[in-house]
Parts: sequence; C-alpha cells; structure tokens
Amino acid sequence: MSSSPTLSCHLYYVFLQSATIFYILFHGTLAVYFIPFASAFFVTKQRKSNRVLPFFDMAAAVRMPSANQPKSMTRPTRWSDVVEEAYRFQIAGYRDEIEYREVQKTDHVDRWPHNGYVKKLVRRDGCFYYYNRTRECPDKQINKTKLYEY
Amino acid sequence: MMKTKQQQPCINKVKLPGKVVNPREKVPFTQQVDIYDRNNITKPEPPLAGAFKERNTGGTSFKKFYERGDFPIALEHDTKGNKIAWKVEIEKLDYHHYLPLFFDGLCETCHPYEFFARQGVHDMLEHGGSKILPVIPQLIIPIKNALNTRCHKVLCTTLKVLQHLVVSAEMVGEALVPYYRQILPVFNIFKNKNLNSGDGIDYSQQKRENVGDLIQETLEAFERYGGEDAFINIKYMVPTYESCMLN
Repeated sequence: MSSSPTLSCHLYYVFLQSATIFYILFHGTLAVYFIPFASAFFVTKQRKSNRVLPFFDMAAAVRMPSANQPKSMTRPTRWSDVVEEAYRFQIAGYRDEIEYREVQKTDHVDRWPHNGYVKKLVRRDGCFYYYNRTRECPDKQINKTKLYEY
Repeated sequence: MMKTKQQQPCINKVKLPGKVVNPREKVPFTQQVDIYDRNNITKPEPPLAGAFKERNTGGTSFKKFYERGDFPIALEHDTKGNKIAWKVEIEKLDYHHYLPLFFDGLCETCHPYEFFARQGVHDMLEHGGSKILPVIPQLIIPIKNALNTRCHKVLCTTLKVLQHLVVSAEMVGEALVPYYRQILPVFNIFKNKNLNSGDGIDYSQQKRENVGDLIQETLEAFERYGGEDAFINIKYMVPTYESCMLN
C-alpha cells in the first residue's frame, strides 16, 4: 500500500523532469534566433567593419574573400610604364589589371602593339574607354596614382 | 577714280591754288594727296574688309544631335581625366555618319559641346584606321566652316585636328591635296599672326595656342604626308610658305 504512492511520486517527478527538459530545449532553440538581435542592443560604439551582422546577411558573412586582395599600396613619385598602366586602369574605375580581369571575367586586355600600353577598357557600367598611343598620365596625377602589391 | 561720299564733302571745301575745284571733275591722285596735306585734313580711311573679324555660324547639327541624344556617348561627371565614355565600341560605329557630325561640332565654343566634339574627333581618328580615308570628302565642308569662323579658339582646335588627321591613317594626307584650295585660304590670312612681345615670353607658344606657329606646323605636316604634289599646291595657296623637306 505504501509503494503505490511512491511509484506515483516517482512517475510524477520523471514527468516533471522530462517536461522541464523539453521546455528548455524548445525555448532554447527559439532563443538561438533571438540572440543576434539581442546582442545588437548591447553594441555601443563600433566600426563598420566590426559591426555584428543581422541574421539576413549571414550569407554575406560566410562568403569567401577574393584570393587576390592586395597587401600594400604605395604612391609613385616618378612616371614609368607601370605607373602609366595603373593610371589607365584607375581612370576606368579599377584597382589594376587583376581586378579588371576578375570583374570582367576575361583574360584579354586590348593593348597598343608598338608599346603595350592599354588601348581599350570596359567600364563597370558597360561603357568603353579608349586611350592614346602615347603617355596619358600627366605629372600632377603621378602621386595620385596607386600601386598595389600582392 | 570714283570718289566716295566721305571724300566729296572734303573736296567740296578745298580749292586748288588759283583754281576752283569742281567736285564732279576728275582730280588726279597725286593732287588729291597734296590737297589733304596742305589743308591739314585727315584722309578718310577706307572701310575695313573684315578678313580677321570673327563670324558666327549659328547652330550646328552637332548641337542638335547632341541635345537629342543621338551620339553614343555617356555623360561624365568624373573630374579625373578628360575622357569620354563610349556606349558603343568605336570600331562598330558608322564613320560615314558620325565623323562628319563630330567635325561639325568643332565650330562650337561652349561647354560641353566643344569638349565632346574635340575629344570625339580625337578618339575616332585615333582608332579609326582604314575607315577614315573614305570619309575625307565629307569632312571638307565642316573643316571649311570651322576655319571660316576666324575664331582664335576654333582655329587652334581645327589646326590640331588637321595635324592629327593627316597622320591618323595612310593616304589621308594625299587624299587632302585636291581640297587645299578650299581650306588653305584662311591659313594664308592668319599665317603671320604672331605676337611681337619683344624679349618677353609668349606662353601661348608653349601651350600650342599661337595661331601663326600652328599654321606653320600644319602646313609642314601637309607637305610631309601629302606626297609629291603637296608642296606645289600649298605654295599656290600660301605663297609665303617655304618647304621643310626640300630645304
């Protein structure tokens, strides 16, 4: 006679524990979705690059960075063929030939046959830029040109 | 010799010594000069012919087509560089249609028409190749109109364009020889327009804006790329020009 209340008590406690575990699991999984939003309220002063991304932009966060990112940039002081090449690409809105090939998905760049300078480039909006046979980079634009190193 | 209205009142008031001058009587030229000197009358100047006077061309077809958006050019708001962006590849353009239109825009002096015409002509000549030669006859009238404006800025631009034209492709210089009589008269007018600054520095010469020097450079380019008959044809229209190849 004393065992039946004990057994029922046991069963009751097991039921409570399982219900508790189920409750925690259920609400815990739901809470995972709210953590990013909640943490955003506690972000005070951060740079754009360190800002926590919202849930809908997680695809962008997991996107792999380009393999050809430059590691350093210098400003030239004298004109040379390399500076001229960089000037022509930067006029068209690209960093250099590597970015141009990545963006336009092509290996071919139109060049003048006699000196190898860039002849024609395609802009990002689809328009065409044409360049002269001879030097185009003026002296005052030399130090505004950027030379990237990988 | 016919007397003008300006001369008649003066002669009416003057009398030859011992002789009354009848204004309707024909007075010899030597006596006319003497009359003005002896009576301290300023001789009336003949009216100006207007050879150097700037002339307005009115609206050009380049401006009309530009306003309508018929040119395959994208507007640029980037201050870096002085290039125009082409919506269509230049190699695919119909040169018979577009090149004369761009040459017509050389008469323009206002921004952005002047910039787009000049840069458009430059790009098309730079990348035209063999497509330029068949279009030469259609370019003569726009070139003549541009030179006839007698505007300093337009003259400088047109002369530089002509220098680029003769070197842009083969046989273009020789193709221009039959049209010298249409484009060289203005060269003859402005050939001696050089600034006499004494021992000062003429900065327009450095910036290639001295009309006299530009004309000399252009004539030398014509002679260099015009073949055998170029010099004699140039000499016919511009007698003071001396050869840069024979000397």
